Order: sequence, then structure tokens, then C-alpha cells
Amino acid sequence: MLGTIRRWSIVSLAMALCGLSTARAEDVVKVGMIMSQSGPFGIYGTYTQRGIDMFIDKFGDKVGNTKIEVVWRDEAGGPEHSKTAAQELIVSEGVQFLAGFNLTPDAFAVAPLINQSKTPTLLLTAASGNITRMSPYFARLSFTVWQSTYTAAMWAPKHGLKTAVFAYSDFAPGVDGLNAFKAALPKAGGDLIGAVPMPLSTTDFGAYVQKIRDMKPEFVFLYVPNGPPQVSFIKAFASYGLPAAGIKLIAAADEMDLPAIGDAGLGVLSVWHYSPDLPNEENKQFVAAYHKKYGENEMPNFQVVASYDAMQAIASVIQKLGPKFTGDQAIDALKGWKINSVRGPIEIDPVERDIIQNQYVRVIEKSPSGGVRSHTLETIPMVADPWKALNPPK
Amino acid sequence: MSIAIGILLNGLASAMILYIIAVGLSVTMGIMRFINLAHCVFAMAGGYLAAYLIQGAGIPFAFAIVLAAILVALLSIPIERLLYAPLYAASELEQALFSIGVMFVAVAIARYFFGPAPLSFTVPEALRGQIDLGSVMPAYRILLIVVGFVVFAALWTLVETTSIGRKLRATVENRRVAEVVGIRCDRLMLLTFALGTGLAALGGALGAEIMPIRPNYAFDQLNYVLIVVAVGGMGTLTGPFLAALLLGIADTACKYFLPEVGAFFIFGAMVAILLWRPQGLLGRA
Repeated sequence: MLGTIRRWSIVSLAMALCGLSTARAEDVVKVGMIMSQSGPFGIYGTYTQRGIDMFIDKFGDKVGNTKIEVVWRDEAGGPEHSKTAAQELIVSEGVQFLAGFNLTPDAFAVAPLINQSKTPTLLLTAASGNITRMSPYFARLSFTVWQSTYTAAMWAPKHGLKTAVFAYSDFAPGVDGLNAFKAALPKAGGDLIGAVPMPLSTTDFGAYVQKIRDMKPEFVFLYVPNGPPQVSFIKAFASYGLPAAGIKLIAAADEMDLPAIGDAGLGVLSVWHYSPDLPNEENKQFVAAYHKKYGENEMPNFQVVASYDAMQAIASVIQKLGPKFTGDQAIDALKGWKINSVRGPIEIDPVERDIIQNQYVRVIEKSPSGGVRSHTLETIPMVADPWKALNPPK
Repeated sequence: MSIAIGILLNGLASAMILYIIAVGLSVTMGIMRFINLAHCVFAMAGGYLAAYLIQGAGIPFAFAIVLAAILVALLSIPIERLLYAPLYAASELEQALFSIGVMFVAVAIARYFFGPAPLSFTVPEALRGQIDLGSVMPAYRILLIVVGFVVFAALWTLVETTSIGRKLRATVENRRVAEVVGIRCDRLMLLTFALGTGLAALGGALGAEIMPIRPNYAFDQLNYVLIVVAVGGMGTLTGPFLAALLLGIADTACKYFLPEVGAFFIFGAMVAILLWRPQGLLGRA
């Protein structure tokens, strides 16, 4: 009987030792990507994947012997769904990074989770300034509402646009944008004559555009999500004759919407953190590679760039720390991370973990190949999120 | 004064698009007693087809829209026979669930073939200007108002004066007796379904500028279309017309004067009207 026990002990010990063997060919760092793949914002998922693919084309999917594996979960379905997905990614898949987050509420929902699991989480789209304050494990690669809106409000009055109407989607980032605009405009000598909140689900902006036209401002600042709302508003703006009446529009018209906007967008200004016509070497190569991969008519946009930069950030952490690291080590490695990105120089603020990047004033013009494109007029260098400066942590 | 005219015209334009899409649903729900929540899928199909005809096949704008409507109407006949006919005897819940399922499938198919981005629909140059009728309005919206009234007039003439119209009204009134009298109700229902879906496709294609065509379209517009049918009364032509006018104009007025709550007026009005008259404004009690 003792002989049997001894025999089984030896067998089980041998099996356990085999399991402990670390003689593997490669290590894997898994990145959990929670990003819209379906629903109204499904296109963001497509662009995010393109950023990942562009990264793999240029740098490969390995850092040394370590493979970066991106595991996707569809963000569509609300904050509770994002939280469940994050939990599953962390516990079952063993991801060492989380990334993505199209919508601010979904990012908020995972904050308590990542605090517990100490998972560094890269924000690729969500733009509310206070997200990075919700957890020390958030780092942002996208942009913040105040970064572009505050900058625009400071820029406009210096260029002859003094009276403004702020038209926005009535949801948290829109209200955030209104606050940014209100904070900055008077400082630059401008005057906010009205604010027009519009339900997020609006598809027909005719009534609102009419109202704005009757308010007769010198310019309108538009804060609605990119995609159908942006396209519909800009088209309505043009079709109701507002440009002809001398009213200028500052929107966040991004490359992803330009084909649908078409000629209605001519003359529309934007203050944005990326433009495909940026002259830096990194961008020129990137745009050329993008055309080669996706066709001459496809233009890279802010979402592709955010995803591309996020992969570089993750790769740099693995480069520095190897395949095994704690969340605290990773987030420390990300603090102060800077590169010459496709969008110009960027830095992750070492204190706030938010992104510091250039803002570009652009105008939409006709493209020689038909259609329209963005043209960069002015660069405002290295803008940190103004909301943080005006709202120091308590 | 120009504000009032602007609100009126704006309201009319969106009302007409909603009407053209909703009238088909009102008639099919009334005559077939089938809860077809997937009605807007046909509107979306009209939009995609029209865009393909214009951009892919180079067909002129007006022809493309009419052709798209006709093609969707023809395509809906086999769809009705294969998908809907087997469920006529089923309960309303089953019909509703089935049509919701159709919506989801349509969303997936649309996304697979056309991608998630909304269609870029360009109205021809001639219609891109503005017309000043007391308030500067896009010419295209004025066109929508005109087409809406023409469709209403044509439908009214069809139903009130032609023999097919008489048969239709008889079938809506009492199907059993209509069959006894010799009216081929099956064929009539098929025809009505095709007409309804054709109208939906027309509305979808015409309204593509204002209501962007994208895979999620059926869900985007379902609320408003159902409100128009519910408030107007199922089974009538004039009901949805009245409801669309009322709701469209009031909705625009509220958005103009009270932007914070303006968009919720339409839901409040629906509740109030249905509490007062559950069968809708012109529906049968």
C-alpha cells in the first residue's frame, strides 16, 4: 500500500514538474481591447484594428521574444457590459493591459475594477477630462474635450470671430465642451451669445440650424460625436445657407467623416490633434503606408493614430520591463513616455497620465482628386488638458 | 413671421418623410393585422439601392429613387411569401418578435455588405440651393414637402375612387365578408404589402439626406414611424398624414423654442393623445 502511494507521489511530482517547465519558445502579453464593434459607433472598432494592423506591419507583433496579443470585446451594450467584459478579460484571459473605451461612461465603469486588479488601461477614444483622475491606472492616448474646445475658443476671437453660438449634443462630453468654451471664450475677448443643446439621437438638425441662423453669430462651435451626427449637422448647416450668410463653423470634422460630408464641408474649420497633411516624416511615411494598404481614397484618422500609438506605448513598456511586470511598474513606465508620433510630438503627463499633444487649426478644402480634405493652417504646440490645470485635485 | 414660416416648412419637410415611410406600415398593419416592426428595413433597402443606382450605375437622381422603390416593392413579394405568410396565424407577440429578428438580421447584412459608416448621399446640384419663401429653406426640403403631398393625394385617389381601393377598404373593414363577396383577399394583401414596402423604400431614399442610411437605420427610425402610426390610427391613409403633420410641426417648434426639452415633446404628445384616443386620431375604435 505504501508502495502504491509512493509510486503515485513520484508520478504526480513528475507531472507537476513538467507543468512548471518554462522552456517555452515565446512569451505572450495579452491586451484586452474593449471598443465598439457594432452599433452606431461600430466604425471606431474598424479604425482601431487598422491602427493595430499598421503597427504590426511596421514593427511586427513581437517585442524581442514577447508576442503582443490583442483580445477583442465589443464595447457596445453600455457600462455594465464593459465592466463584465473587462472582468472576464482580466480574470479569464489574463490580460496585462486594457485598452479602448469609445465612450466615457464605459471607462468610468471599469475604474473600480482596474484599481483592484492594478491593470494599466489605455484610453483610445473617450475624451472626458476627469477619467484619468478616476483611477491611477488610466493613461490616455486619445484627446480631451477641453484640449480642443478650449484651444479653439482661445483661437477664434484672435482671428475675427468674436460672437459665438455653442451647438452641442446633450450628453456629458457635450456639456463638458460647453464649460470649456465658456471658460475660454471671454478670456480671448469673445462673447457667447447662446448655447443650443441637441439630443444625442438627433438625425435631422434642420430646426436647430434654423434657430442658430436666426441668432446671427459670427461663428458656431459644434460639439457632437464624430460620425452621423457630425455629417448631418454640417450638411444641414450648408443647406440652410449659413455659410452664405457669413457664419463660420468650427467643428471636429475628422477624416472619417469627410467623404460623407463632401462639398458641404468646404470652409469648415476645426481644432484637432491630427491631420493627414502634417509634414513630419513619421506622418508622411504613415500616410503612404496607409494608402498602400487600404487604397488611395482612404485617409488615416485620429482613431487609427490613437490605436497605433497605444501599441507603441505597450511595446515600449514590454521593451523596458520584459513580459512579466506588475501594473504599478507598467503605469510608472508610461508616465512621462514621449515619442515623435505620427501626430507630432506627444507625451503622457507624468502626474495626470493624460496626453499632451499639438493642436492643429485646420480648414476643409477641395482635394485635387475630387472630394475634400483637411488643410492645416496653424499649429498650437504641446497643449496639456486645460481642465486639469483649472481644476487641481483636491 | 419668418420664424413661423421657417418652423412650418421645416416641420412639414420632416413630417412628409415620416409620412411616406409610415403610411405603408399603417396600411399593412391595418389590412394584414401583422405587426411588422421591420418595416423600416425596406426603407433602408430603398436608400442603399437608390445610392447604388445613382453612384454605381449612373442613373439620374429621380429615376434612381423611383426605380429603387419599384425594385424593393417587387423584391418584397417573395419575402412576404417566404417569411411573413407562414406567420399570419401566429400571435401578435410572435409576429413582433419575428419582425424584430428580421431587423437584427437586416442590420447584420447591411453592415456586412456596406460597412458600418453611413451612406454618403449627394443630392443633385440643381437641388442644393436655397429657396426663400419668407424663410430661407433648402430647395431639397421644399421638394420633399411637394412629394409628400403628391403621394398623399395619389394614395387617397387610389383608395377612394378606384375599384382596387374599394376592395382594399372592404378587406380592412371586414375580411371574412370581403372574401365571401368574392374579393381575392390574399392577392390584395400581397399587393398592399408590396405597395407599403415600396413606399417605405421611396421614403428611405428621398429622406437619405435627413435620415442617414446606415445599418442601424431600422432601429433609428422605428420609434418615430411607430408613433406616427399609433397616433394617426392603423389602417388609414389620412391618420398618419394628420399625425405626421401635427407631430412634425410641433416637434420642430419645440426644438426651436425650447431646445433642452424640445425633442421630448413628441413622446409626451403621443402619450397624451393615446390616453385620450387609444385607437389614434382617425383609427377605428
